[in-house]
Amino acid sequence: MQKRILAILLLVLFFFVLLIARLFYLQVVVGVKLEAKALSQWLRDVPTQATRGTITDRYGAVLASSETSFTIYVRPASVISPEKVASVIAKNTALDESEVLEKVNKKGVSEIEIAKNISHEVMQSILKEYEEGIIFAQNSTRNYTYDSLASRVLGFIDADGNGQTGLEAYYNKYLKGVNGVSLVESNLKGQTLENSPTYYIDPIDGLNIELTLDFKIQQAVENIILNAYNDNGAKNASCIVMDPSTGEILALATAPYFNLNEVPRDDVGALMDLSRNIIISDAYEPGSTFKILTTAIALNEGLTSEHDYFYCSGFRVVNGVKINCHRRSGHGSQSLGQGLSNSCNCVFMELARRIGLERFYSYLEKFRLTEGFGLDFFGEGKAVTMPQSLVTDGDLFRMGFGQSIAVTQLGLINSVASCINGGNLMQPYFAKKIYSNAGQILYEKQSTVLNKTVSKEVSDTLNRLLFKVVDGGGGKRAMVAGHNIAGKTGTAQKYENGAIAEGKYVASFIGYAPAENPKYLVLVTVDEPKGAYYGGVVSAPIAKNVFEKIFEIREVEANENLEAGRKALEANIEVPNVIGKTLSQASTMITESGLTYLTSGTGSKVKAQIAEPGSMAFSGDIVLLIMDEI
Amino acid sequence: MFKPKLIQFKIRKNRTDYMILVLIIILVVFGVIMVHSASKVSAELSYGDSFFFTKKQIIGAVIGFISLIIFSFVDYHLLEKFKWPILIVSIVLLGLVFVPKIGVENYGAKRWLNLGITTIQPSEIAKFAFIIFSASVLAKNYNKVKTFRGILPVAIFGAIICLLIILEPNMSITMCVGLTVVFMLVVGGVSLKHFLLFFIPALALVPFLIIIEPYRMRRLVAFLDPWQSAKGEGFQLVQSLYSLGSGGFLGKGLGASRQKYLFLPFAESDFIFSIIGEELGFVGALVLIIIYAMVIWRIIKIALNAKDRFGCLLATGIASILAIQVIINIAVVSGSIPPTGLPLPFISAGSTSLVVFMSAVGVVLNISKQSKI
Repeated sequence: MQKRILAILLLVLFFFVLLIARLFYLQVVVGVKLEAKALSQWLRDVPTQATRGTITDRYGAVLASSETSFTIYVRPASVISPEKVASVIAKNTALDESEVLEKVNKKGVSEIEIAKNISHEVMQSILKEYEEGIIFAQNSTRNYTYDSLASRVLGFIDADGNGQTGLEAYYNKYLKGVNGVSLVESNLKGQTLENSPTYYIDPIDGLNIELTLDFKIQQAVENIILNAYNDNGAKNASCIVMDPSTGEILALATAPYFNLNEVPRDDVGALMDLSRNIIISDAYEPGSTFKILTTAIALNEGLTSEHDYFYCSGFRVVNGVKINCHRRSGHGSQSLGQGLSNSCNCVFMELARRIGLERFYSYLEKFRLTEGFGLDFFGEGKAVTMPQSLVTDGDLFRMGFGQSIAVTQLGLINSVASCINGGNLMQPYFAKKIYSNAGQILYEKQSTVLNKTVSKEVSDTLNRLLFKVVDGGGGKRAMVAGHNIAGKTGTAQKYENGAIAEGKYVASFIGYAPAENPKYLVLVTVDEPKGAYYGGVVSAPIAKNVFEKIFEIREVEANENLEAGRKALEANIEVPNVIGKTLSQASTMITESGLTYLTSGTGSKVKAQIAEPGSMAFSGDIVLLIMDEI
Repeated sequence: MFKPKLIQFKIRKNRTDYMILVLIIILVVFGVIMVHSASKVSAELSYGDSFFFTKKQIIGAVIGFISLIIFSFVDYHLLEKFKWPILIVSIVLLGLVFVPKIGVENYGAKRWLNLGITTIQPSEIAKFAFIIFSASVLAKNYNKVKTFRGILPVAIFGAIICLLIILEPNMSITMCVGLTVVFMLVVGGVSLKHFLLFFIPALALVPFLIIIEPYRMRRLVAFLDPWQSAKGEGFQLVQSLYSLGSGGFLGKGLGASRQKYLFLPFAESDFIFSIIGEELGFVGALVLIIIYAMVIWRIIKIALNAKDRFGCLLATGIASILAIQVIINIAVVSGSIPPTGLPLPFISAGSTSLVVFMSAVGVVLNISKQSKI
């Protein structure tokens, strides 16, 4: 019997040792891991999302802002003491206690809303006296002040408060801020323990961003572009306004727009189209506006000059292939400036020939067209070019007038900016400043020169030539009285599946003011206008409206004494009849009527005149007087 | 230290084992402290009185101590004389739990009797009644123990008591009594052949009992992977592991349990060991287990030195039931065996268990008082 008793004792001790080993494993070996798991149930998380930063225009006008508030709910089933719940809420929210109590006592609802728009401070003070059954929900709302304004630029956020498109996406990490942590020790039912510390880390609100955009110009541009889009029945219509001397984007819009406060999320495909920033992402064949670059390259390389003359017979045969000018009858002999004004393809074929393929492509790199500018925006497109080895002469000649090459609108306008601002390729940008709520500036963008493209002289020459394009040339419909506006029109045929798409054009106009010291560079692009499709007809008047609005908003005074201070679009001066008059008489008559004159030949009397007597001319137009002796 | 002069006065050759008395007083006082620590949060919430369980435990401890003293004076041979009344009364009490109004149903089981002022758990009494009965039978039938007839009464009444308890249902106490039957038979000198004759069918019953009650099956599955159902069936076990684990080596300090904030169900009763492990750490748990081992060792020593065969078997039975309950309880809370509700002797909240165990210690003291050496 003794043996059996001792055997049982040993068995018991054996089990004791096993249990001690098990406890050692649980408490010492994996204890920390178990405690880590247990922590999550001991601590109750209270929402403390950071408030998203504000986006303003360059003058501080709020374009997008966020508000964070809390909603108090009560879950009647979890309430232990309805009276305490009601008194805690009523005390902190200034609500009527009996009304709150009535709601708390409501039967048959899982949750009932007690108070909305509760501040963070009030939530914190309720938490201190927390009673079971009270629930907080955080509401974060993003408000876009002007609904659809800059919809493709600002972009929108998703349900989690992350930027999905546009600048909201690009600057998400700055705008978003850092969510806080607020943990209180609680029991199984979520009631805070007595004397328990609250682990609280304040959320860091998102940073604010000041954009280069001028919301007034943006608004004006959007109105104008929307009208243009509607009037022309276009696929879309775009406009970008930038300061060519700094690279700041003042306005950028593509119609149609959408309301950022009510993002149409039902049709994802349509939303993708609506939110894509065509100006920045999509490459297109620019057509004649590209001739500015061809001219700039040729001038910079000393391959042509203002006094260079070209002959256009309406076409040019390249390696047996006939490439037409848009005027089939030809432009005849013309200077470089006239070539630009007439937008004569033959002139630019010749310039392309002189430049040569290698040099042409090296300039594309210089203009960063093939690389992009590093704009602060996702999805910046690059130029689409043929592989250099495959380019034929015909392709090169076409590139000279802006075909067989595709660039983004941003690419075009920014490379043109460098040709007219003295030769500095600027980095375009949207964000001027990033600053905290306390006003501390954490980032300030300095204008960055990416490259030197052309010389100052070339730039000055181009300004003179492009001024002439608007001053009575193909871009005359962009002229605003009292202002020196320079520019170039463009009409590009669209290609679909490698072939010319009949009747589909991109009508564009790129222009700037003042011509001698460019401050506002504007590109207007109407994609697939119905009816008239010439850039000079469709887009130049739109640009004129844009310029007028810019001058109004920026209070740029018209100068009546300007040479270009003529009634731009109306040829409202009747050309006087000076045939048979002496030169001095003719000179007086013509000058008094607001025209100018040139003479051809010698002699004392005028034998003939161009333009015809009685015809209507633009102010400042030249009347050629042919004298009676040659 | 407690040193009752009365005992010394009456008994000349006093061999009473005061060491056990000291250890038991330590355990009971520690139990009251831990019951208070573990229950004050839930008691405050449920009864508006953080001392609700503490008071009951103190009352149980006082009654238990009185009972301990009485039994230490009562010649344990008296128990042998009254073995039949004791056995019959305890079986009747077990039967009474099924009588409506007298029996109290809690958590789906009828385990308690309502005595008006308090409730008692007859199964706690029955297991000791059975020890007295079987110790007596096995002692008297010493010569016939090797025969089937000699152990038959033990087997039959063991089975009856087990049956009544499993009907409540209370699997854990059934297993406890079953194992006690086994221990008693082994110590009583049963032959291996007969032993297997009882043991194998009894063992075969366990899977059957598990299968007939779906909750037992779920518990078994939850035991195998408690994290799978950490919010359902495995909840209690996971919470118990959190308690033990977060206690670490030295514990959070007395009163500093986080799990007692309603996370751990039955923190003051069946799962009090987890709270001890959480507040006092591995070190505290180890010391507690060592104290239990010392108590068991002392009782076994008393059994070996007992005046007669009955005393020896009685003390062994008491040591066995104590050891079995301690082992099962700690094994459950540490996730070593499937969860089942069994109080930790002397410590878990519950007056019946406390009073009965303390009475048993009184009996043991009386055995030691009359020991040979």
